[in-house]
Amino acid sequence: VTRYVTSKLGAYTGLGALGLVGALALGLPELVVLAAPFTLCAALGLATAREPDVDVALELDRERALQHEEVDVRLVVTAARPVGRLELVVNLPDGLVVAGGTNPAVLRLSADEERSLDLRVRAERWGAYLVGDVFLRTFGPFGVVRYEARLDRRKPLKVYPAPEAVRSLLRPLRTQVFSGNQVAREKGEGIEFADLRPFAPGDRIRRVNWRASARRGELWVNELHPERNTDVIVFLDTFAQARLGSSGTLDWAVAAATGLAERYLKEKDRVGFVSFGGVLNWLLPGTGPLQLYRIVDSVLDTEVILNYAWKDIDVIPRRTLPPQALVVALTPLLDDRATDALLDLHGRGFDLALVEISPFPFTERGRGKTGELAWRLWTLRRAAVRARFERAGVPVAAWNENVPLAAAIEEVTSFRRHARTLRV
Amino acid sequence: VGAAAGLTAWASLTAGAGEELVAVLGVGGAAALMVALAGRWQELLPWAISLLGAQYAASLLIRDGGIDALAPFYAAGLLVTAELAYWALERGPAARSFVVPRIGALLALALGAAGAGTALLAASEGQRGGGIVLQLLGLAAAGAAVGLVTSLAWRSRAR
Repeated sequence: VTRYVTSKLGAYTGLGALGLVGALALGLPELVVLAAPFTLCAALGLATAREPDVDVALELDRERALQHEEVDVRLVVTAARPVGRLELVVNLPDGLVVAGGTNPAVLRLSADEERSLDLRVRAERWGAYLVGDVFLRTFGPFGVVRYEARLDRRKPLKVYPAPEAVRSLLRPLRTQVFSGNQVAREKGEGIEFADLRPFAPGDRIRRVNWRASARRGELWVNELHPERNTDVIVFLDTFAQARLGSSGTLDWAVAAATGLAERYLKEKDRVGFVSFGGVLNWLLPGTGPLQLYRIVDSVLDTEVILNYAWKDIDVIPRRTLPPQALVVALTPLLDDRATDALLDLHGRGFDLALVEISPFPFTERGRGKTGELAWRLWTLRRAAVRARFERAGVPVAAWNENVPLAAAIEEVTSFRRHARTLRV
Repeated sequence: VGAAAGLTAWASLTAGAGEELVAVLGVGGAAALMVALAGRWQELLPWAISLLGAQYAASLLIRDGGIDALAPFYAAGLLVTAELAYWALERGPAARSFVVPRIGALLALALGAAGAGTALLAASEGQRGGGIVLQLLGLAAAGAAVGLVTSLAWRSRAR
């Protein structure tokens, strides 16, 4: 507890001194009468002030919540000595707002009294928060002394981003060796029909296509595509973001990353996560619900940290990017380092697909001729970056507020289905 | 501001011949108080209260007569004005349950101030013309008070 003298103490003492000096100088005893109450208030306030003995306990009704959900916070305030006026405020981190209850609150407590205060907090933004930075303030008698205390009663609260709904998934070009839900390009034991071929010794009788065999006069068998799993790397570009108010490209990217990871893990695929930016954060590919929790926790740590160091793909550990993995990159295409790294990944044979988180909803057109020219140059430059990817055969789909993520994924799928690399 | 206006009216009406000068000081004090409250400028409050006190001192100097027996009530009024002004500038939520007890405390403070003032006035009547020793004692008390102000100002500056 820190004790401060208020400006009122200085004012009252000054007024008292002025009255006393005036009384002496002018020979007016009435001025002593005028000065006396102020001097007495100051003196009594200093003499009778006692440090408050207040404690606060804080409880959260849960440790995890989804974005836009509300969490109940209960504060239990106890005082060993009476407190005439206790001002209490819970300093909420950015991203959390008070949805119910009073913050700051004012209380009057008698000796050994316990009082509960209920607050309802809404998570406006995803992230890992610590809730419970409590500030207390009380005043001594006559308000000439102020006591302030900061109590650290922080409890962790993880707010997970509301995952973006993903109906269809991007199919990988190549699959891995373990069984899964993706139809492999190779032929083998599976369900999906691939081709017909003449019977060979060792083929199972149930593979024989009797209709084709009858037409050709010899035995022909069905060839099938096996169902395999795949490795998917969700690649988040965190070099830069466009932000307007409480929303930005990173928030969209995080929601998309969570949604994609959830869906791919449901398909029994191995999913990894790379946050490539000012700070590199990665998670080795894995499967199952536990991996989803790991990814979501990694996503919560994601933030844009300004960094001018040139980084290329070599800084990412090799095991994080398994061979033949599908890399789904979520990027606002605002930083050349991310662009170069992604093109490098594609050059190294990774199956790359790009979802461009459009920064246009978070930017304002420049004013005047110069602003208009700057805007046009910027949009042209972005188009040039997109063209670089498309020339390299990397599908790019723009995702903005008018286009659902599923449509962007479908755009990538369509590109991969129809685009062919022309070598001349 | 209403309390300040009341004090101004009181001092002006009891001043007699030079009521204009007294009124000017009082209006200046009330205006300073209004500016301080409107602009939430706490540093201006002591100056406003000082002007109201100066107005009373001017009225005492101008008028002809003995000790003003109503001085304790003016002192109580001045204290209530200052307390109300500081209350008005307090930040934070004003819960209704705090208002009534505080008004009671303010009234008690005013009564206490008036009582203390009356006692002081009675003492000064008894000690009238007490001589150089008492004058020096008073000077020392005033000096101590000024010293205290200086030390408090220094401490608040150091923080």
